[in-house]
Amino acid sequence: MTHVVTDNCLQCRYTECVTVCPVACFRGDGTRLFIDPDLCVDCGACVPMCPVHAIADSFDLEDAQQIWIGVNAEQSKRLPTVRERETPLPTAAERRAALGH
Amino acid sequence: MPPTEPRISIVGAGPSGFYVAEALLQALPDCRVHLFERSAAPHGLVRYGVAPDHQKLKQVAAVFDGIAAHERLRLHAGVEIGRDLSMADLRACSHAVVLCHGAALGRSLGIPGEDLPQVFGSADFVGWYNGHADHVHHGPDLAVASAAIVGNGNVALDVCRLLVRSFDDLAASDIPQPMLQSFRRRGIREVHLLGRGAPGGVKFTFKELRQLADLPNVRIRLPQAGEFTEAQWDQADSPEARRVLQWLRAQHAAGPGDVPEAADPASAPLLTVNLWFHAAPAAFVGDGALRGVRVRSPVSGAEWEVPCGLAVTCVGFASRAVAGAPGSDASGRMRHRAGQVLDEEGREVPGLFVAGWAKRGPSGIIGTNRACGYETAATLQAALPELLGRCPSPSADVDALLQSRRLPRLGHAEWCRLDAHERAQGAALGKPREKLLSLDDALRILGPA
Repeated sequence: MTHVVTDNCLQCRYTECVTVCPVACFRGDGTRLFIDPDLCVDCGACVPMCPVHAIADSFDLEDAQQIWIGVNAEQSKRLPTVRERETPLPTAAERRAALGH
Repeated sequence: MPPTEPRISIVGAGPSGFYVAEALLQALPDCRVHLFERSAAPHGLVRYGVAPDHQKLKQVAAVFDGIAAHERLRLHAGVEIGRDLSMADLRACSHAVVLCHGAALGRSLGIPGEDLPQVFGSADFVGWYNGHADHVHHGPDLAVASAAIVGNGNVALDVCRLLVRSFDDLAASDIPQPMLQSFRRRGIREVHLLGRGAPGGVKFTFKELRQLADLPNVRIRLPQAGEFTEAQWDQADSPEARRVLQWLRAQHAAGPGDVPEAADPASAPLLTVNLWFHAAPAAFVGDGALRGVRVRSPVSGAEWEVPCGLAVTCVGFASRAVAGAPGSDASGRMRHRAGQVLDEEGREVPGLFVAGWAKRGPSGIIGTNRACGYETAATLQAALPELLGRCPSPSADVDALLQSRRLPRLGHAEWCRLDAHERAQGAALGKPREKLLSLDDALRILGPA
């Protein structure tokens, strides 16, 4: 079991999640974030922080979402750590509305 | 005159203390941080609160050890502020003091019979099975047929899970050996979880419930489910409570018959956890020995007795007062503005700050303390120029004070040795670590300085 960032993060990148991560397990590029499953301790603090509900316990993922487990594991190994909150992407508000959050 | 090096003292080496330290070390490149901890070991509730079977969560301790290794941070374990050093001592050594002493006191229900043997508060019971020096003496007798747990939060569910979890699982956790012996003698077949509110008002998370429900030797029952109205099944206080409620309803609809018997009844007999709602405890009853809990429904006024030979009340925590610092408000939190401590009249107390449970009250999880600690650190940073101007050079020195009072010198290096010792002892027993249980243990393991 682990926690993953799903593609709701894409075009948003709100980064509220990183402020409560006790183990600094978020990694990211310019488009979105991922969780390093080897660092994450499954505390779940980040889940309610995300304005677009992008983070989930892998246990709660629907079948179609299961791909994010592998993607997070893979991408987090090659991207830098994101520790500090950053400005959301310019498309964030629009994307958030489109997602219905 | 060279620029003044800010000296900051933090009281409490739990999650909030470490995250405040991390934020300060990062934001103030020349500050020096002294981190005081009353226990012989650091990590606070990660060591003494997080359930011993949640080892993955306890891995966060490695992050704390990384912060403690910082060259501008000094850990002083085994030193209690208010006992070994006064707040005045600390203020004399520091430009600023940050209180991160948590909420170590279990709240009591204030009902008759709470002082009967075998009735424990959660701080005592959780502290006992986690080997906290303040609580190792409690020695609850687990060789009873049934137990009652008062409360509907995650602490109540942690206690419940440990009371029913198979002995093999517990033996592989970091429950210290003396406490594990009590679990070996466990006779519990039934646990009653008593919630004051409606089923939709539960405070525990679905994840915690699932961990309990997933135990192969445990079945969960709702003795009152037949009485619940459609409205009660439908009304949840939060999205999380709704998930719990939906699961409970499905469980009830499935009936009790579909739970498979445990594969090996000898090692893990089938245990029942009864979830009671609208069950406000009115009294613990028994003649010298605990016999049960008398509960009353706040809705119907009905009263009934739940039999138990052990009771644990998990109804919240309050902060211990620190002598020389302003007291807490009625809710048990210190008065503050973004971490700046305020006195009873709402005036700022210069140089005094607060973070963690002492600031927010006993809620949130480990990571919540990171954002909370960073907020307090930012407030401190903004106040620092004035604090430095007021008193450029503190009048006392921490090392000189510790030496003159003959206080223990348990820094990060000493903790690394104790940690290695605990892990080695644990490995020999097939568990993550065998905890030291007192300051004397720590000093004995370390040997003469």
